[in-house]
Amino acid sequence: MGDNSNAVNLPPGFQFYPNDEELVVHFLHRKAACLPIRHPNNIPDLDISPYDPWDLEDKALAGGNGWYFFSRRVKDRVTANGYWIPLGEESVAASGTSKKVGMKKYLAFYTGDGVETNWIMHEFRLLNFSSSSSTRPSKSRGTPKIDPRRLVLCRIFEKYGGSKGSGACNDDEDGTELSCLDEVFLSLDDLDEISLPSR
Amino acid sequence: MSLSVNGQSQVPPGFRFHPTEEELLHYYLKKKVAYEKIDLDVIRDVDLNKLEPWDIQERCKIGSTPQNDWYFFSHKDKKYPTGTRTNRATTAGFWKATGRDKVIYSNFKRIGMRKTLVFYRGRAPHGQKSDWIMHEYRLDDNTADTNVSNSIGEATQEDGWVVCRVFKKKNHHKTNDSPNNSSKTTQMLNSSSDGALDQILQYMGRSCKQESETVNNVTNMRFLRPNYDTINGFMQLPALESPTLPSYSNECNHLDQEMCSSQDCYQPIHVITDTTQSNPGYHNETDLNDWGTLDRLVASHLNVQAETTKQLACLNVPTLPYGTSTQEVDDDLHFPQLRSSSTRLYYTSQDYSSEIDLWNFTRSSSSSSDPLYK
Repeated sequence: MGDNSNAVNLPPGFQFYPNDEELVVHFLHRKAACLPIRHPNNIPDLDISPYDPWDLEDKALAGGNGWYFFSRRVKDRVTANGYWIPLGEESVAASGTSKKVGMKKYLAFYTGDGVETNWIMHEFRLLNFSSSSSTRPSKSRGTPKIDPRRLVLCRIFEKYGGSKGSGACNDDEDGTELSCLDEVFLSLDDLDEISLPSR
Repeated sequence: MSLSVNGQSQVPPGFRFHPTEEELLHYYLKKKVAYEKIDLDVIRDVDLNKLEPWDIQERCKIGSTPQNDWYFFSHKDKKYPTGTRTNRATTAGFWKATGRDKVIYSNFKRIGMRKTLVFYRGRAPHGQKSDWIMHEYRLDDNTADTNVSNSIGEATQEDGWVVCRVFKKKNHHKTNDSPNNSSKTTQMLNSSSDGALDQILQYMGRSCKQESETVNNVTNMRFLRPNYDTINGFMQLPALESPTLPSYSNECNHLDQEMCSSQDCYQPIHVITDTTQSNPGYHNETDLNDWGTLDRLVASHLNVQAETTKQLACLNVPTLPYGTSTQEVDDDLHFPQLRSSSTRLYYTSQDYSSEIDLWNFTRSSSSSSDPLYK
């Protein structure tokens, strides 16, 4: 999934795989400030449309580690077939040199009958967004005004299981980690290390 | 077009170069050996003998985004003109292969091989192991199944180009570097104690960092449990519902299958103990030698753990059994053989079954850790 590299003429192997800070700084903040967003500029704004997570395929931007879209903060995130429930406290998603810039909230998706699913949402919002940079350009260009305090950027992914395509953060088979067997071999190498000095 | 034009990276923010093994082999390496141009020159040529691992990150940077792994092409340089061994020494150390090569498939076809190497500082054989790992990919050398890999062509096996991925190992457990360097258990305990939800979610499905200490201890202990009286001890480790380990049963009842594909959930050396023992082919010349060393190694692992693990109550295995077989050998006399034999160990057929067991085991054991994600 997530082969949107064509849009920016990147060779194979590139994925939209933003970290939290990049999301806040390069996408959320720029969107709120109505500044042009460099590629990919096609993170859709789904507003508050209550899509079920499995319906995002044609609507949200597919990244290497989840689906991405802009939305608005709402009190209750209820969809056709379920609802999102916050998990724990918000954490700081991005911080400048001295101040926090963005916050990150975790939510889990439950089906209507109260069964927890593997779907997880990271909801990013700006903190202390200075209105000076936001209101002016949006007014002057006549673009629909977005309340930056309500604007959020969502990353939705399915925890495990299912096809590899839909699962996020599931790249251990790509060789960036050692397999169990590799670890065994690595430890075997230690045998050499032990035996040599005593020789 | 190259990666950066007028100082500005051509890779937009948020994009990572994270190729699959198939992309590395079928797109990048194939183009390389065919002298085709690759967009952006994402993967650079590197003289492995002149580049230390810690310089690779700067040299192989892609875009401005932080990276956990780095890629380059390297031309294999033979150590001796007549031999087939590759020289992978740098000024500060050398890359040493570990384990056996892994076959890379694409659509059920063999397309290449992956070799895993570890960087050692110093000179062989006295190098000091580091956390730098390299995966070296080569196109299939057309060995057994020529008809399968025809498409790759014969030229590639003559050509020494490989594509490499370098990364730093996570969750290291350098038990042997110093006696006080506590084992992985402690490191995992530490990492789980700062277990912010953020971290948990971030690493979810990628590593076992988020494991709770209970599960870690359970894992380690089960591997520590000696089973010398069985033919293949590893395969007959106490079952999850073993009555001698009542504390596990709760953990294991609600295991769910697909938690994380774990990487580091155990003390792997103990598995080898069993492998060695279970392989009749090595009884004659190597078994006795191995036992002495393994015993000491196991004992040292156990000692470290005994000091660092709080939940010793669960450890119903006294240290006593580890001494039992040492009396048979005068181990110090046989180290040269041990060295060579430990290499050959990799190729035994037993490894395979162990591997499968490891996966099954770690899959199931690493689950129940996080109550949020049952």
